[in-house]
Amino acid sequence: MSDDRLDAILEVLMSYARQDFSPRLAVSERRDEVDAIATGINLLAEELDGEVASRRELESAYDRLKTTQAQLGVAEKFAAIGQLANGVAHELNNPAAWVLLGVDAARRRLAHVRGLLGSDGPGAARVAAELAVIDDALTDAHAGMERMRAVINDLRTLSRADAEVPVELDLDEVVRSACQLARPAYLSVARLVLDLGSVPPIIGDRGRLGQLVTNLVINAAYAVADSSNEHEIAVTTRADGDDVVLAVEDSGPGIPEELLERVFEPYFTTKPSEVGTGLGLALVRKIAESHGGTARISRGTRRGARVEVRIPRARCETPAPPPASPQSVVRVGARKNRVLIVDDEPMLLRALASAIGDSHDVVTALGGQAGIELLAKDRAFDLVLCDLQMPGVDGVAIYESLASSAPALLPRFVVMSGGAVTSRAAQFLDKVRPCMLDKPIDIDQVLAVAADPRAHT
Amino acid sequence: MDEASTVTCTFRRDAQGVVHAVMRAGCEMTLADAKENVAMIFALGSSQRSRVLVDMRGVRSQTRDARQYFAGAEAEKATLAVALLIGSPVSRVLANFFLRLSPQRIPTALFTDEEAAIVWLVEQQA
Repeated sequence: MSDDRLDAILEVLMSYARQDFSPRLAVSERRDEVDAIATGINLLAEELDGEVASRRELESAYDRLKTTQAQLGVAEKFAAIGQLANGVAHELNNPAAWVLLGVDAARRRLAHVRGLLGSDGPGAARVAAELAVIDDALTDAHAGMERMRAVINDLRTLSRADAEVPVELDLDEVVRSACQLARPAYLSVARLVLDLGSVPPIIGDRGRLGQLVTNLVINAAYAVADSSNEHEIAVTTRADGDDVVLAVEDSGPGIPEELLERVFEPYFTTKPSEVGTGLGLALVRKIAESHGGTARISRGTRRGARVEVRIPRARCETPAPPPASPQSVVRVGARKNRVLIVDDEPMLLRALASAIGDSHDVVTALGGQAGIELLAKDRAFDLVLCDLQMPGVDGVAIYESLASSAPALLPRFVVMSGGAVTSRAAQFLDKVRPCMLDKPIDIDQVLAVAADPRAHT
Repeated sequence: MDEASTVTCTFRRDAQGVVHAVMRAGCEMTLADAKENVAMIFALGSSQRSRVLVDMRGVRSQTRDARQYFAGAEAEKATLAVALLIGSPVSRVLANFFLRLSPQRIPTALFTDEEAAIVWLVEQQA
């Protein structure tokens, strides 16, 4: 065997040893023993090449599987947090509702007392001053409760972590809710600058988009957290052609150029492991893509990082119906409307009855069972306000009972809900789509519905 | 001098007089490198023939004339016995070719375990 041929074999084998299976050995016309060995090596290389390609495909599939599994794990975690948040929101809603109604009722009564007292008489000025103090306190309490209601609604928005049927929605509204929820993360480290551009509607999943915005704002807050300088986090929305663009930008140190694309990789994080999972921005991109959009990162005008999310605008814009204005509601006829309120919270029942009792004939039933029994004997109601979730007989059961025994009442059946926490309730809302009042109840809304049930149901 | 290095190798002479020659990771050895390395072994052995442990696990390639030089008379002047420490696929292929197809002027053996290699080297008679 000549040294040249031997060397050729050695070189090829060393290539194979380096995982490069592309070189092949030349086979001469002589067809001698070396040619036979070379042919054998070439055949083996063909097989190895195929096997290595299959193994690489498998490895790539395994990597994708691991990524998906990680994302599923995070989605599961968010779903669990969402369920918990929804439960908490529901539990807070009832007491919040009766506090709000109570404060409202107290303010109305106070105005009434003021009218009765007039401005004459001994000590009238002093009483008026005291009443003004009480009124201020009640106004503050009312403002506080309104803020609580906003937080509860935001919690409910975020808790819709499971994939929902996409609906037409206003991204600005989602941004406001998410920023409110992320407030504790940025409050002490940066000033939030919201520049929302009244963007056209998009089709999407409110919960997931809320999660996207929350992740971006929390990430931005973390980016500026270590610095003692004054910082800003800017959240902007604007329309751009067929897209709605959301951008979150911070004034932190930014991300090195070479890492910009890597930040969207699952498990890639610049935070310490006890703080970051490395999945926040991966989820942002995943959510953007699941809405037919994109997520990109670059250096922003504030020197820090700027993440831009583009989501296609809804193709057919259906103008939203004008909201019903309580002031525009006109009482029909002189007769007071008869209203049945069914709820398992006695305090809420009392507060609601007190709030609308002056202008309507109110009958109350404490709990679903009492409601069914009452409706079996008396169905002369202009409106049935019924809590959705009650122990034992719930709002769904009452609705079903009326569907078989008194279907004429169904158009006057209004559901009060602090968030559907059971799948039975969620399915009912999805299927029947009844007229709904969200808890904590807004007294003006209740008055408007009670005054003209047919216009609202 | 008990320690030295070249572009492709690091060298250390231990208490038993064994010269440890470790090829750098990814090294591509040419004839010039081979000559330099043999000269360094000769220097470490104070111009005497040494027992040499060659750790080839980092080698990426070796030219034909470098292989021939290692198997030739010049290398024989510097070495008493050579233990080739292998591990990577490339080192296995290269060492087996070297062992089977080069004329063996001095005792040469393949090892995957460093301790065993040193025991064998120490046993080799001058």
